[in-house]
Amino acid sequence: MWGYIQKPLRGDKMKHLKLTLFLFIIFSGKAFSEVRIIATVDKKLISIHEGVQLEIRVEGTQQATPPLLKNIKGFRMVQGPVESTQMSIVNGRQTSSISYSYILVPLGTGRQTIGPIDITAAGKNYRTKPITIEVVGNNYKAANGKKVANPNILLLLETQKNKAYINEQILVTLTLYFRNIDITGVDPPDFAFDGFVPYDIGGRPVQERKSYNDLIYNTVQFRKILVPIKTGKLSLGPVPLNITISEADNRRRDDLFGSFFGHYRQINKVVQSQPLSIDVLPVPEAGKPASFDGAVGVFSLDAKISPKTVVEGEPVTLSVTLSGYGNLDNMSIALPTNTADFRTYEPETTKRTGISNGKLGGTKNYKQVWVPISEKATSIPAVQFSYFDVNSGKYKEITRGPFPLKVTKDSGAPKLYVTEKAAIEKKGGHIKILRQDIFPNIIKISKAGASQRAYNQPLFFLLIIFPPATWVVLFGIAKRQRRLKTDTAFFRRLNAKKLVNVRLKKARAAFKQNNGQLFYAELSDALCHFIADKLHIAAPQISSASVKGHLENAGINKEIIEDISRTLEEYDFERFSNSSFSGDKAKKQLKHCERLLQNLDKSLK
Amino acid sequence: MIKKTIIIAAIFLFSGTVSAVSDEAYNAFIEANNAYLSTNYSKAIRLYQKAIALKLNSGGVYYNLGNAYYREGKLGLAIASYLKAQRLMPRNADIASNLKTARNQTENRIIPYEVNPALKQFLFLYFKFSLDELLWVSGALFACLFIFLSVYAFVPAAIIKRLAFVIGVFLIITALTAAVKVYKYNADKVAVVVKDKVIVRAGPGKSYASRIELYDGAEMKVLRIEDKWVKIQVAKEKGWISEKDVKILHF
Repeated sequence: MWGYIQKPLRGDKMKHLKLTLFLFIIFSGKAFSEVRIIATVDKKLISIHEGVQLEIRVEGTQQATPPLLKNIKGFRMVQGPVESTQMSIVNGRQTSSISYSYILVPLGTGRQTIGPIDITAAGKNYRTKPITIEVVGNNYKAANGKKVANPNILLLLETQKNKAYINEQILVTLTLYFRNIDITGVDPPDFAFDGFVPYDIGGRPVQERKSYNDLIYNTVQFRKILVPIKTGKLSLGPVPLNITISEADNRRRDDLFGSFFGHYRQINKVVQSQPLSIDVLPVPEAGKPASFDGAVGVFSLDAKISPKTVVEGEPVTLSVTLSGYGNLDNMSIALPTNTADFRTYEPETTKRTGISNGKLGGTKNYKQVWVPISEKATSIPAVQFSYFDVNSGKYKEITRGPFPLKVTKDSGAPKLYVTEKAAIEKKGGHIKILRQDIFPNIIKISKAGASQRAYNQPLFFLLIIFPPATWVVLFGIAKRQRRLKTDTAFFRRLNAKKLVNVRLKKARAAFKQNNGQLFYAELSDALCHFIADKLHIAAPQISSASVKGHLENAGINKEIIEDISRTLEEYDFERFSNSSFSGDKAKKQLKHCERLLQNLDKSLK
Repeated sequence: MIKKTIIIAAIFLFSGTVSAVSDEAYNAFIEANNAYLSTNYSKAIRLYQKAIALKLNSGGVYYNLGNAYYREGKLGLAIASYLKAQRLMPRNADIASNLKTARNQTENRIIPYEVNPALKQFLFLYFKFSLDELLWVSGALFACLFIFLSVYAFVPAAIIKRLAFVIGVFLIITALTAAVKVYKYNADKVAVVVKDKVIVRAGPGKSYASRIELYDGAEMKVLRIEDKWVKIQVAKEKGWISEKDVKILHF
């Protein structure tokens, strides 16, 4: 406890103190900050099936650019950089660091060196010390006879064969072997290899117990079909696999429950397979049939036509079914087309592909419409399909047809023309199509409307804007008309002005005839009927005496009310007294009446 | 006043609201056809492109352009033109046939996903009608709907109400189909390789590893475009390809 009460610092002093502290922290840190680069690995002796974790630690600054590690000889980076930073101030000394972690998998056995690795930190270039790692193969023994720890996990990549033809399917299996270890999770592996198209086998990975090097292992097997799309010596793998291992956590033995139930921690690990290579051969040139189109596998072909008797111009359907094992996605049958006596249409294709017994295959159906345009058409040409049989290593050619057809003449049938004939050659009783040709150009196009898209055409916008606008107007008119028919008050209010004009016209006529009685009677009627129509009450109810009450209820200005009441009294006086008719006075009264009606019209809207 | 408005609107409606093709564009098309017939395909290509630049936006022009490219041996450009033509004239059997012929001659033989014919029949509005046709039909149905509503305002007969309802249902179907088409054209852009051979790489740059080789005419789905590199998907493979090596079919 202090013996005095400290005075609070004044504003300026406090600011100075804060600034001094800040500068002290910054510069004291700077003064001690010496940049150091340290590269470490988690183990220096690994098997070909394992990954190694490389950490590059930059001490003294956090201003660093992570190295990309694209081309480390003998290794492939599968994860990273994962960045983590640290900062601490101890006894006024500030230290900061940044670490970059990578997971590297070896590409071969023997002594491999990581680095030196270049890194830029705090604007300067640094270089790490090289790290030597010994990678051992499947015997798990290092050069000095030392056994590599953890032979309990290994990943093997296997193929059916190490030689294949282009487009031939290859079954590839990736098997994770493990024993005396608890694996709780395995990520699906990536089978993307340069030069191959992968196909899923489907289903879950196969789990079973297997023997390997006289030991029993639990295994998880992933299978894929790969189809090579280029020739040469192609490499597969190494394939990395992320797994999660559950391990007893020995660090927490002091925990009462932990010692009883046991604590486990989940560790993520990367294992990798050995690489493989496959010789992908081109299909042989010798004996290659003219109709060969790249199909490799084992196939069968069926074809038929229906109906077999038609009238000229009627369609005939040619149905072709190709089935077997092979990559049906990438192959097609060049159906004959465009003969002199037929017009053909684009065939409709349906396919059902899948993998059965570890083989990719299925069925592909073609349905093509043939229309005989001449009664000379006697047959639909044969369908040919050739493929390279991987079992016998030879080409096989299947021919179905030609399909005899009886065409009868129909004089009323419309003529069809084929303007560009396909190159055809009659050979061996059937027509063999040498080259599929395209249909001819379109000669005429419509000039109207072809210049712009629909949404750029004014007519399109008229269609969108004009009808709704018209509907709004017409809907308003119809609604008004219905109201005029049913709402009397609305009708009287709308008609009031029209009727008052008629009465004023009559008053003017009476004025011209010097008929004072009629003149004032019309002015009085005009005013009374106008008020009665606007307020929807009977006209006789309006008089110089009663008008005040009605207009006050309608919220009319008191001055106007007084004026109207007085005016009606004057009209009554002039109508019923025997005084002579004064033109000047009547003219003034007429104008005054018109003004009153205008004011009333505005007030009684 | 109402009469005047109607008269002015009618005059506006029937005076040149449908934009016709300019003579220059049409003449270019005719000249191109003549050049094609005389086997001068490079001239035909130039003239078809001129007609398109002059806004002759017809499926026939793209189809003929595709034929000219095909004759010149430019499979990728031919396929791209046929695809464009097919969007404008989806029921034309000749376009489908020529597209198939061109595809059959490509090296990669990547056959795009084919929709089940039964589904095609069921969704015939989507597959058999072009976007322009759908828009015109929607516009006409929209106008009809409001004409019926206008008549109903004066003659509130049940039959008119029912007809307006039926038109409304058809309008929703055609307008939704058109909207889906616009969305698909924008979301699922297609690109076609227009070089003899291109390399699909793992990343957007030449320094990235090569993954697959594609040849002239190979079709692919465009995933995104980034700094003159296009991320594409072919079958189940993904990768990057230089923008200048492909023709992208824009909306």
